[in-house]
Amino acid sequence: MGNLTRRAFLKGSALGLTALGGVQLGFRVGAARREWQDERFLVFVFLRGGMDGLNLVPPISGADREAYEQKRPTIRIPISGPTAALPLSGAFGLHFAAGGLHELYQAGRLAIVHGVGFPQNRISRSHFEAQDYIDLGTPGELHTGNGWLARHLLAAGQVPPGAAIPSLSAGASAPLSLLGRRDAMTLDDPSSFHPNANSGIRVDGQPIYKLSTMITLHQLYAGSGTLDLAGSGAARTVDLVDALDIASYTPSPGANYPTSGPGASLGNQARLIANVAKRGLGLQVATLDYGGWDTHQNQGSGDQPNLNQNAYAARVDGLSQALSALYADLAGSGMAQRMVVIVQSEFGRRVRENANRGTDHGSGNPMLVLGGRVNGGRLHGTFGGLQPGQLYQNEDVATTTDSRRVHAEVISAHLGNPGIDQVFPGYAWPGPMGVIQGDSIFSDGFD
Amino acid sequence: MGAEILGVAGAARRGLLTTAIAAPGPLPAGHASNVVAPPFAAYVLGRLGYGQRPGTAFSIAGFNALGANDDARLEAFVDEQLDPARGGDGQVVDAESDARLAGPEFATLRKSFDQLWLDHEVNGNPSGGPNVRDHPIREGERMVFVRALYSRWQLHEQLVGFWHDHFNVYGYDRYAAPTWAAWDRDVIRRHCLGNFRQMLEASFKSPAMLYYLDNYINRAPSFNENYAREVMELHTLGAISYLGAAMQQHEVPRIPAGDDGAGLPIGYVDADVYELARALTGWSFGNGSNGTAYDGHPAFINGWHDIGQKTVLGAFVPANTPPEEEIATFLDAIALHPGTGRYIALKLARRFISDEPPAAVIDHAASVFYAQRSAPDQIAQTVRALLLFDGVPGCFRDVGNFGNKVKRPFETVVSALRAVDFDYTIRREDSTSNSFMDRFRRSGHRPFDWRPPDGFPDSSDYWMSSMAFVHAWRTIDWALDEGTGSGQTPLAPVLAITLAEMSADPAQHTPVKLADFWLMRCFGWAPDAVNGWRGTALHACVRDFMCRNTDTISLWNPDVGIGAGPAGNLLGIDSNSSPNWRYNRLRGMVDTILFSPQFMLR
Repeated sequence: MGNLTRRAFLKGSALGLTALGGVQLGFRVGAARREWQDERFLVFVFLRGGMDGLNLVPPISGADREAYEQKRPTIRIPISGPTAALPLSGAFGLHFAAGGLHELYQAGRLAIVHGVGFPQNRISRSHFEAQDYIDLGTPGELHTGNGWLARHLLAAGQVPPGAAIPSLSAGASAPLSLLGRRDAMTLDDPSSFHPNANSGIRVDGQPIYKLSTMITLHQLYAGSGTLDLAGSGAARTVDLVDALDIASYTPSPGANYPTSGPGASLGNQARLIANVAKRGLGLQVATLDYGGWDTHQNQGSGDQPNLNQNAYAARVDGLSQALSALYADLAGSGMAQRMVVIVQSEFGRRVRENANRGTDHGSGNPMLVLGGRVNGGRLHGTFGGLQPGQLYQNEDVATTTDSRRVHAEVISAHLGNPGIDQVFPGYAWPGPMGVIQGDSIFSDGFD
Repeated sequence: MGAEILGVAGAARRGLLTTAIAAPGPLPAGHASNVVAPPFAAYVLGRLGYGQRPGTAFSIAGFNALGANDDARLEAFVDEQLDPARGGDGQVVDAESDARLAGPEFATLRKSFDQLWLDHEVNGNPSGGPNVRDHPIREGERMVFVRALYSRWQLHEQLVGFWHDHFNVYGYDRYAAPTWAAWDRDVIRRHCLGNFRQMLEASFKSPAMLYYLDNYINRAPSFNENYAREVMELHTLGAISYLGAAMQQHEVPRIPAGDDGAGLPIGYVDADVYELARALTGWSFGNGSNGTAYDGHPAFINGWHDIGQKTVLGAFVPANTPPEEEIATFLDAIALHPGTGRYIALKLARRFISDEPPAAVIDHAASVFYAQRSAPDQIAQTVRALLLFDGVPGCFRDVGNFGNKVKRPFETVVSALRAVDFDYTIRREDSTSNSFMDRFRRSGHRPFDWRPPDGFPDSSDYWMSSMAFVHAWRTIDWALDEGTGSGQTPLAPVLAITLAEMSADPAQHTPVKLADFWLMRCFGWAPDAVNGWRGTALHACVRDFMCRNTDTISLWNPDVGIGAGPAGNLLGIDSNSSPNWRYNRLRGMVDTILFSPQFMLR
């Protein structure tokens, strides 16, 4: 392999790394763009920490509203004034800081599913168990050797032949949902993303030791062990960032990713996903983590419009801005139909606020689904109610929809993978809820 | 005992196993194909420290001098490392790292808690004055690099890191940042080889922890469960003993007679969390509000306390029990439950042995942890038992474990810098140190920069990511290229080592010999007594880097001295001019060794 040329390494209309790292990358970028014009993909946004979904989608009328106000005397989102909930269909509203999401809802692009969680005998109020249940796709079972998104990608025909970036984790590390998928690209910030800043003469504009280091890295990690694949994957990521100039990107007009506040990092990561998605590299699955939702204290008074003094609202604002920008970015390129975004957390929080104007761990929670092919502008599933006898263990919003039910619908109706039993072993999928267009509509929860 | 139930309740995060289920058996599939098994000494030094450091006691030669055979050496090594030299204050003493930390850039390390509070909390951010609130954490995050790089008490540093992850506190948190030196010294370092029950109490009563997990505002009746939940799930019994949300206390099976902890509930349920949260109501610290002094000391706010009776893990306190007595009862209940020993043993085994350690090793270490629960050196005894346990495949002394753990970025960078005699004190308010930290931060492993309470992940899966690899490598590359002072003295004397330890004769500087020399220098050993690393795939890769021509296509003759190579290459290895930039080339070659799978594994 020592005589592999830099031209094969870098150019030739291909990222011809095939011979180097044992990684199949022999595609032509131009051709790939055409071939994958219609490729659909999923963006999975994990709100780690237990997002308080009852304040994201609060009841705004009826008996549940009374119970809500009674159990949340300081943090409840009001129905009038500057922090009034933004009305959705029926008896629910959206948090006042979710203006961008509200517009998407009104435009029919955002759907909300009530009461998402685990089957009752699998409920865990541990962050780390519950997160793993979701990532592994096997509630109650932590021994699963790979994640649900990895199993989806492993299914035959899911990854286009020669796809350069079938999955992208925009963050420091890939989540467990991609466990088992060794070619998962992990990238946070594409700037200065190379392992050797060395000088030396420049060849094709590159310092030779930077090039030479990459050649050697591919040789060092040419094997098939898990570390080999991770190392060659890291080298391949460097190559791609470099060859495709990933660091240079201009979003569509109107796609205003947040650059300050708690959503700044999410905004950068969403921007990177749009950037990669638009390049025709075979992207199937992208993941984002957006943490900081463990609001045991001072999550913000419901009447406080100042985001600097309202931690939860500021976080919602960041989420709303980042997702709005992501959608606008794809829509601006005529690609909204290709994308579905799932937004969920490991659990909801207790209905009753604690003495610290915060909330402790609960269970059922809303899930957001966004995209061009989403049956949006609707609330799906069943809200369990806040009346006595309706709450789980008298404390939590009841779980009425298994989160795998929606995942399965997205995988099947959007990504075209019929192998639900492979992706969610042991799960008897009751069929789609109608969150994605083009499927039979029967909105309900657990049967 | 209760294995089935515990199995359902789960395994800790990311490692995906339970103690009860992992059975002795085949080792995990290899992480890398072209890796050579190291000698026992190299394996031990990479596991129980941050890798060999040439020319010190913490080297292959130093280890091999400890006894007649590997078993004797391991025992002597572990015993020595678990009994580090200590000063009058009980803290570990190490001449080299202490000297590096003696300057004013590390002044906060020597301040008492009260002094830290005064200087960095009370006067931390005066109007118009300098903001010194973060000085303790900034010194603390750099101090751990200094100690890991230069302390001879490497196992102690590893365990300090282990306990910092275990009792994770976000370093830049409101009250952690100004008091960090006390958290690190008086909670973690003071107890890290000591008694777990005492360590738990010290962590609980620290303002850093009381704030981080919200117990400082936990008050009746609408208690705040955050600390109570995490102290059970993360600090003591662990998620492996959590029986889920659906079960109630009276439904939990009891540990059978004859087993450790007989008669106690086998695990905990949410009701135990809620009862403990009630018991902890009112435990705050002096932050100047709610009638407390502004001194950072633990404070009990009587009016916030739930005085009713409570039951946690079968331990009962009647109503109106004095709060100190109540808290002692419940800290005992969670610290002394055998499940806590199992969880600590599992985590230690994951750190030092493998992501899927053999059950027999965990059971043994857990039984020692439990039996020694009142001993002042309980943790040292437990670690010793874990490391010296013999008789099952996959126990610590099984060198076949080599390669089943991938280094975390901190280990990658520190072990690389140790191997190349990096000589620089990473410190506060120093531009070179800031450049180092700015690069390292992007690996995702900046010390004490983990916000969730579970601490940095320990599983290899998590760290096998492009970001972790590339930014650890980039940090190493920077360290090998960087110079300091007017003469730009290299931080890592790659050239000087080459000239002094290999040869000053340009004719000797052939790619074959340079690669062989530096492989031996970085690893401290070679696969073959005569041929060194020559003949290995790794050597070939490194050699080819050294003789790859400027066209990046052709290779020089690898047996010709680089100073007497192809036309135009008549200058020595220490020249650094176009077209071959030999010095840069040499440093780039050392990079490739430190980036290799052989080096990335423990």
